[in-house]
Amino acid sequence: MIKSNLILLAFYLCALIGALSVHPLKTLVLYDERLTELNEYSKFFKSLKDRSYELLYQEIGNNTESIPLFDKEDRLYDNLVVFPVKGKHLNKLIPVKSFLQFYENGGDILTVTNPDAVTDSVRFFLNELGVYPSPKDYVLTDYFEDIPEKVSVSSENLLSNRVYSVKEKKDFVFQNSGAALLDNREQIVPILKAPRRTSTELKNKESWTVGSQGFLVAGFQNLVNARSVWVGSQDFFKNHYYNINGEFIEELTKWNFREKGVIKSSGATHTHSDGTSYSSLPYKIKDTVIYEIGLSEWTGEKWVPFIANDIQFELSMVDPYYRLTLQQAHKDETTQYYTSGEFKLPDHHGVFTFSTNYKREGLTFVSESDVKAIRHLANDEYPRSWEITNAWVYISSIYGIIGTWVIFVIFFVVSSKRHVSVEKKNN
Amino acid sequence: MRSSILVTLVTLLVTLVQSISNDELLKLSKQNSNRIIELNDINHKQLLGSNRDSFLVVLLTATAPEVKCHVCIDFDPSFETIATSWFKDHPNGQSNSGEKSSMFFLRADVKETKNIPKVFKYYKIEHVPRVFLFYPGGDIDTYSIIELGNDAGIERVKKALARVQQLTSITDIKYYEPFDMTSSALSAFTVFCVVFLIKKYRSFVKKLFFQRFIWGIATVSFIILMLGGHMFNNIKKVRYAGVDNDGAILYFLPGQLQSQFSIETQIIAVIYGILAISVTSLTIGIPAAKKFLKNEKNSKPLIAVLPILLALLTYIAFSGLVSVYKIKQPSYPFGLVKLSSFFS
Amino acid sequence: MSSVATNAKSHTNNVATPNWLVQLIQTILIITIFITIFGAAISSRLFSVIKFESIIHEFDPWFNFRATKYLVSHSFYEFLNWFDDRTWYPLGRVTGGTLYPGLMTTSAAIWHLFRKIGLPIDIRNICVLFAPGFAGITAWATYEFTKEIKDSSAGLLAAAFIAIVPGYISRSVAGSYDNEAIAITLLMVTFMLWIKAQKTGSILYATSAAVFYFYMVSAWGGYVFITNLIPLHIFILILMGRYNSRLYSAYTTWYAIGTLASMQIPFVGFLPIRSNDHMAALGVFGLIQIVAFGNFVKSQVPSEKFKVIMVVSLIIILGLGFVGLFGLTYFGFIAPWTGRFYSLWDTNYAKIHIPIIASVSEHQPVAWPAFFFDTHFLIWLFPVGVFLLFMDLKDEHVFVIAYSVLCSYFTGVMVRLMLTLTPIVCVSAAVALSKLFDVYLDFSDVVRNFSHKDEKPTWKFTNYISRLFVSGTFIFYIYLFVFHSTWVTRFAYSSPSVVLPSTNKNGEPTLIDDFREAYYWLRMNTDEDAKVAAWWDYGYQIGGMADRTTLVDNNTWNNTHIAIVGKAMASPEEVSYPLLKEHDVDYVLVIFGGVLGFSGDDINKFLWMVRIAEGIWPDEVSESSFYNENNDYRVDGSASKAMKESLMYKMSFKDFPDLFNAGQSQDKVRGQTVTQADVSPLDYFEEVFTSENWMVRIYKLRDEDAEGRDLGDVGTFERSSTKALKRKGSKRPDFDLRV
Repeated sequence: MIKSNLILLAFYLCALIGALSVHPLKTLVLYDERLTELNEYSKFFKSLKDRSYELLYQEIGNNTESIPLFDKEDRLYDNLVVFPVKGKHLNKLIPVKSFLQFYENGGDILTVTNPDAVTDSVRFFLNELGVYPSPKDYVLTDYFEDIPEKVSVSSENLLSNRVYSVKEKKDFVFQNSGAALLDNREQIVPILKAPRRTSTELKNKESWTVGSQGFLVAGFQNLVNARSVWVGSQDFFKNHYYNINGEFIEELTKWNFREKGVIKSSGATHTHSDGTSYSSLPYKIKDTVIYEIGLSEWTGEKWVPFIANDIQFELSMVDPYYRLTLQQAHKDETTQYYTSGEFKLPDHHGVFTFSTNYKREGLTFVSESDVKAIRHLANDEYPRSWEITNAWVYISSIYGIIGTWVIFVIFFVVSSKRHVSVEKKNN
Repeated sequence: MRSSILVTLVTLLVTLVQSISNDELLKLSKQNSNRIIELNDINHKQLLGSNRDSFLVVLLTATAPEVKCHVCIDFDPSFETIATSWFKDHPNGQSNSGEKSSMFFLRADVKETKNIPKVFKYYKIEHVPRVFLFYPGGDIDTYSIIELGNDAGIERVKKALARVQQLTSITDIKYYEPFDMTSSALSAFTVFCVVFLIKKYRSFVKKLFFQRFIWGIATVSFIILMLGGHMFNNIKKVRYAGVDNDGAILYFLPGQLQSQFSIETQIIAVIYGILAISVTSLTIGIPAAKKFLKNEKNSKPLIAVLPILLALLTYIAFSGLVSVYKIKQPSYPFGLVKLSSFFS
Repeated sequence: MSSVATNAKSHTNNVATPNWLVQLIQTILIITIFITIFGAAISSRLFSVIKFESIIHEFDPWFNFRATKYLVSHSFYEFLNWFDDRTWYPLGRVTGGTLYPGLMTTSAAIWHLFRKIGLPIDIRNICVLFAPGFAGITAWATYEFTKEIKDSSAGLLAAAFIAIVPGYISRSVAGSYDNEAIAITLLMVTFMLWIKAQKTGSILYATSAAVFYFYMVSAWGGYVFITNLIPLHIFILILMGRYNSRLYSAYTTWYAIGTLASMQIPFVGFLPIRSNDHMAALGVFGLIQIVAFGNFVKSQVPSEKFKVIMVVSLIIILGLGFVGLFGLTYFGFIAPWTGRFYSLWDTNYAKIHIPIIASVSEHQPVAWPAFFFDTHFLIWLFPVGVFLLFMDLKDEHVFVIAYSVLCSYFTGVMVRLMLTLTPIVCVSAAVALSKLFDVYLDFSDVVRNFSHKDEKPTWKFTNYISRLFVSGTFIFYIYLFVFHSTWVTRFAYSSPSVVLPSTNKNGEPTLIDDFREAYYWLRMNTDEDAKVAAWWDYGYQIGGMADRTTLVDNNTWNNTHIAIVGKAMASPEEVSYPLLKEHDVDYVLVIFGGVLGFSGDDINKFLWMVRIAEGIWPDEVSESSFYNENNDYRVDGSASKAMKESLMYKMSFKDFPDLFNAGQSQDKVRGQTVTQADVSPLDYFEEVFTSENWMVRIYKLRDEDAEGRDLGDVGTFERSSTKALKRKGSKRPDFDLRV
């Protein structure tokens, strides 16, 4: 509860400073002076600054002593941008476990590697996400290009509409790039695949990727909705190519730092069909109930109703009993509400879970679940015997016997005189 | 020099091709009435390690009483029955289900603890009984172990046979439980006698049937049997009596309130019986005797002393019961007379 | 006390004093005796409160206590329709319809009564002291019962016996708030009223017997014993040719009212007409109609031939009845015998077909020492009493004999039925002893013989001596019996089994309170809706003491659900985790006695878990895989692979070897040394609590990995060094690639 309040507070703060992401914007940029001349990337940083990101630069060199990501339990930065770093120094400064801790704590990470600089800690971190970038010195090559290491990639290779889609076809430039293999985890968002003619090669070694097996840009979203993006080439961000790549980079960072593709639930409710809540009247079997959930999407400025037609509700007790696709119902300024319509609870008592688990590629995960008991019929809630036509036979026979017995008693009493006289005779 | 090499080669060749045919095995098995080939120090390598076309089921067991292997003693006759059942259906040991599916039964038994067959050492046997299944071929070290499980009696045999069927894929293994002619004949004879006697002494039996006294005795005996823990013996199938570390017979399982030997039921039933008889005599016997001997002159001393004797008998029996109970629960603080020395 | 009882008898024989004075003295004596009997009955049951504290005992009482609390805080209607969503998650339990409400309603009634008269007592105290209170009433009912069998002196003896006999105390000490606590009282009252009804033919008594039968049905499943014993009594009497109209009116009244009333209990419902357990009563009801009709015809047409016709028709009707019963059962109209009932007759039935019944120690057969332990010298007076009753053999004696024979058999098969045997042991022994005292403790002729001296004084004197000796020995036995009972009660039957007595290193007595420590931890540190998986033995306690939702409990109504927990415990953690997660489990609780030497722990119960799970999933769980190559069930290095991989093993022994110096980590229950190498780490579960003596260990299911990795891989990753990671990372990954 407190946690969600904090998040709300954070939202308000964001709104105040006119920020674009759903969370604050303190960003740490790690770079290696030997590899990265910051001026060459000024356009990239400017685009971030224009979007109110607070950028802090930290050089990684032999003199760097420590880079704390946490102050005790509190995360110090919201976003982390890691440019290629050479050598083993980073491994000590930020080991792979710190990256994972930062990421699992909700920090977004953008990692950029270069064929000549694939630091272990970054690579291991990516491996844990199921992204396997080509190791050091493997270079993406296209022998049909003029310069084999300078590959132009068509926008047809873009894979995720949620991240970036182009109106008309164009080519991006990837110079001196690596490529990655991805595993089949559903949390991975492949963004840009390598062109078919390319391969990632190192002399005398088996190539790391061949053709569209490799990926040049890949995203990942973990269960706390933190996002991580890997880009295989530093030159991709250079001012020199910014005219070509700029829009893509902008959209990519927007997705990465959660300016878009962010949805939230305003909470799910379920009630009896007449609106009575569970707390005032617990459900029993075969009750008619309604389930409703509200969803909003973040535009970068405000929350607006989220429109979709594939939101499903599930009523389950170990196994699902119902799986209903929700229909759009009313909406207000910020939220679109979806409803299941009236449906009848199963004829089975037990403790059921009312849940919506909306996980779509490129969107933040929304999961709402509520565990409620559905009770059996109470002893006086069954139909009475006379309401069951089958029982009429038995009811009539019972009353028949009672009536006959009464008649018998009457006859017995009336005719008892003779009996007495018989007895007298016997005596 | 050369000849010695030749000799070695020849012996090697002989050992390699040394084989044993089904007929030879059959011949061996026919030497015993139960059709089991006994393994000994001389023949075991040859039998198990030479080339053959048949399955071998080998029981390694120890029926010597010193080993105290109850399962061995229990399973031994079952194994013999398995073998005889097999040869009853398949006189030449050949299954109907296929070519290479003959089966023979072998056994190595520790009959005295001083003389343990070498085959036990060869297979490093630490637990008996073990049942090995050797496959057609001739490798002495390729075999499967047939688990005997925790069941007893017919259940164990059935499970073991099911496993053999599974491993050998011989389907027509049957088990004919030995039919005990003598016992059925005996029971038939008893039934006949009883019926005959009832028929003959009908009036007497009828009288007996309406005899309250008989019914009373029967009922009370039944109750005493139950109180002695008869059902425990029946259900748990406990041992009759035990042996302590020095080899002496134990009549009572010491220190165990929840368990017992089956002989305990008999001892306790006798004690209860004595107690019941003496108290009953005190209660109805003495007054009846008094009445009966009313006119006898010298009955007075008898009538006066008899109750004391009976009460003493009760006391002694009860003391016995308590002291026996103390064996079962050594911490029990109340005793009448220390009589446990008679029982332990 | 018991000797006082016989004094009362000797007073009745005193003829010289006026009648009213005798009666007055008698009444005063009886009242005094009853006050002392009540005192003895209640005070000997208070050992548990004095030695430990006022606490609910064991397992089932915790459920009864919880239900009672529910009843006093809700209305009776809500109680009747109580759907309990905090047990058997996620199935829930229709608790109101599946319990015997007699116990709870009685204590709630007492609670309300006390409040009405201005004594607001805590419901827990009423529950704790419930059983001792009712033990007093049992003594009175036994007195009345025995009075009908013999006379009031035997009655007083029986009452004194039942008040302190350990066999009954075992289930009725303070805190043992179980159905049996009230059921034995009701059993004796019902039998007492039945005997009176049967003797007099009074419809009033028969109706009262039926009403108490109804009360008994509402309190305990053991009511089936009455349902079968009373018809059996009637049946035997009919066979003996002792039918009379008194039997007819008593039985038909009792059966009609009792059966209709018993069907009002939701848990019983239509069982009385649909279950084989109840068919004997129905059959005898039919039989007695026929016999009555036959008798009527006979009285009208007396002839010798009639007898033959009657016998033949009786046999035919009986035969038809059996065939009908068989047919109806075969076609499913009547439920066959319940499993528990089968296991009474076919003693191997339970072991093969229903391991859950066989796993309960209460359902084991009894060795002889238990009889002596529970009844002392009454056990050998019991057959004597039965025999003496045979000599009289009035109608009511037949009842006692039938009861004795049936119950001694049943008790031999199932130890929990010792409880129902105990009252009849007391009654029979009291009858025997009182008959003996009638003969030997009657010194009224001493007074009488002062006047006329016609016999030789020496023999007379010896006669007195012998009488004194005989009665003296038996009074001594009674004396010993009191000591025995007190000793047994104190040392064997007063432990609440929630708190365990022990001695510390200095030899001072201490209490081991791990259970409550753990349950309290759960109550204070976990979410209110947290679900706890533990073996069913602890379900009621977790519900009662920790107030957390459980998967399975001692109600054991759903074998499959229990098997789920068994399977989770018996499987490797990567199998258990999804299974438990599927059932929303948050915590897993295991009982481990290896540090303390507590032999009733989960590892010792483990094979039952395996067996029950194997019954449902024979392909996935197999008992034999938990034995090592030598067919032994072990926990040390030679334990089988399945054993070492099982969740139960890992949870029990996690960090256990670290407690000791190397090589000394011996499990005190099983006496085997468990080393660090045997215990592989847990990846899917994390230890959150271990009690002081390691008896209770609680594990939490780890959250699913945020990055979607398998938790086993996460564990491997956490443990692996950078070098290992490097080695792994430099290779091209080997999996189905995303294309």
